[in-house]
Amino acid sequence: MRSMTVHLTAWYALAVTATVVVALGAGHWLLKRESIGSLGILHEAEFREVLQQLGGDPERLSEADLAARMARHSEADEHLFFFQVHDAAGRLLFRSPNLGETILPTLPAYENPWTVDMPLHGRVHGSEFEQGGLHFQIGSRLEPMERLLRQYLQISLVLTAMVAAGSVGLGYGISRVALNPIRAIERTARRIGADHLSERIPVPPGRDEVAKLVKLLNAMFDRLETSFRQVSQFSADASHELKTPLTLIRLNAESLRKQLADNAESAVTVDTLLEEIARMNRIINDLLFLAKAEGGGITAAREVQPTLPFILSVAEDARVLAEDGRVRLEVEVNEPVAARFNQGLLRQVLLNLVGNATAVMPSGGTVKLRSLASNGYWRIEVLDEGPGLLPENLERVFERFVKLPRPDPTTGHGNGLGLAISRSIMRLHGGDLFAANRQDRTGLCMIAQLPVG
Amino acid sequence: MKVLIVEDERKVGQFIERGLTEQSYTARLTGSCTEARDALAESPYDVIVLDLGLPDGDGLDLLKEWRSAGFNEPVLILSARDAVADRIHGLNLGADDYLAKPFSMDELLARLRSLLRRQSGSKTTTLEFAGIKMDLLAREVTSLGQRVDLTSREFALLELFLQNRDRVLTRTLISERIWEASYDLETNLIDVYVRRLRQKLGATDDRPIIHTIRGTGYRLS
Repeated sequence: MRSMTVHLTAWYALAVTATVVVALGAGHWLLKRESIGSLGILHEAEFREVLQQLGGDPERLSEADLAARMARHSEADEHLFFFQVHDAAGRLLFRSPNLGETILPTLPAYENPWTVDMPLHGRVHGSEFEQGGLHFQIGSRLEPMERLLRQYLQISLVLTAMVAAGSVGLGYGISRVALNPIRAIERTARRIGADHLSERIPVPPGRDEVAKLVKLLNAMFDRLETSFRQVSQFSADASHELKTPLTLIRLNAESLRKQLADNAESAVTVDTLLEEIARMNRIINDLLFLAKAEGGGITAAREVQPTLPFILSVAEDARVLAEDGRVRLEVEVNEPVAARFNQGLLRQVLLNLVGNATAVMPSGGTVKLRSLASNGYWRIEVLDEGPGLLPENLERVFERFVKLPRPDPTTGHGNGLGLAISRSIMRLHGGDLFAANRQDRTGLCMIAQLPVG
Repeated sequence: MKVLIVEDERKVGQFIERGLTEQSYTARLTGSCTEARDALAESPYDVIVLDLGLPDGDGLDLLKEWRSAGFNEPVLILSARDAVADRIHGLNLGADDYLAKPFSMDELLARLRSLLRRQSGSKTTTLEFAGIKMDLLAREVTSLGQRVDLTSREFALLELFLQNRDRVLTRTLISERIWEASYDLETNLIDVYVRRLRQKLGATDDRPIIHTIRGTGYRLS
């Protein structure tokens, strides 16, 4: 969401600033064109004034008279115009004093008006006029106009900078407001889990894209809720249907066991029956747990708590399990952290891992239980010194009912569901469980991890 | 002692009824919420065994109704639902114990006895059995006069056995009471602890102290 705000702000600021730059650029171009165009008009008006001064018919005037009249006129306008007059033969008849040493260039006829760079005067814009065999040139310095354009540019730069800064702030505000409904969606969607299934995102008024999205999401949550309920319902039904007969079998077998107390052989048969009933009950419980966990229907209370006391308390039981298999347990805790988890469930996962590790170990070996923080995860590793696993089996061990051969077949007592359940418990916590072969020696490393905090 | 059984599976209900009668309890079997309400309106009971999935309603609603009406006798929930949430919900609503199906009759009896004993409120500070002495205040244990060092878990386990002597303790009950585990992945942790306890108490084949009951659990006798 943060990056989306940043993106929108950047795009907004860029678009606004670019528009302003283009508009100011166009203004600059127009201003320049208009200024030069108006100079041409000014020159034309000036020429008509000059003609008036010269009595309307300059050919009739003597050269001296013309020069005198021109001098008088040019004196009045010396800040604005340069004048130069030639006769048809190209002889210079008059040049205004403000030109000083310089001369207005005589250019080919098609370059009218013209602009040249002149020493002392800078850039000069000139127009040429023919009247009665005389050739008039009127020029003006472009410097005032250029100064105006320079000022325009400076102001434009300041304006652009201000607009850029302003549009970043405005863009940020607008994108915050625009993304508000999305943030609300995010918050609610985050809350809707197995424990708040019936909650829905409030539909904003109007028929805009966000409202449509919310309706779509709510419809999806409806379907999700239905399927969650179905899973829970199935689980409850299956539980009831399977366990009622199992209860009766067990009650009857126990009653039979009492009646057969004197008959050793029959008693052993009934004991076996009771053991199998217990095993079947376990499998039913495990399968129902998996079905519910994968359907998202498990709501185990999870609390944020420090991991160190928990690990130490698990280690106490884990050590007992390991020592029973004539194996040492080594506990290593680096960087104790806090994490959100259900103690009972996580304890089962870790004891399951330690039990599995112990079963594949030669006696006298060492099982390591290691707790560490890594990249925002709390990682618990259980390392054994057994034969490890073939690469293709590293994932298979988590499949249901998959039992891989153990070095000592008498230690295998599981139903092949332990790791599948352990993984589903870790995923329930927003974490995961996976297996890897050890790098430092032969043996397996089981890694359970969940987010910190 | 009068026990009200609320269980819609006739055969299971009859089994419980018979088991209780054999132990000289007076038991009455009902199969639905309505029947249970009527029975309780007729006469008082000392303890109720309550199944959750009833044909005309949920046992939890029935429990809520009784508790808000001021019925304070112990209630033991008996259910095929083993979800942690159901268990916690039931206990929060005022149930005193929760037993998952399939259960053992011995365990049901043991739990009912302990509920009724809790009612009478007897409390001892020393436990003694077959040469084993346990001082609950000093937290000391001796076996045949020899001092025995126990970890806190082993101590708790022995205390549980001594308080339920001659009764079968199932693995479920042990793991609930000692580890407060709501879901039991198969580890042989309990077997290992019992074995250690036997060793420390100096048990022999002639004097096993804690007997293994196959397919069910353990019994101190």
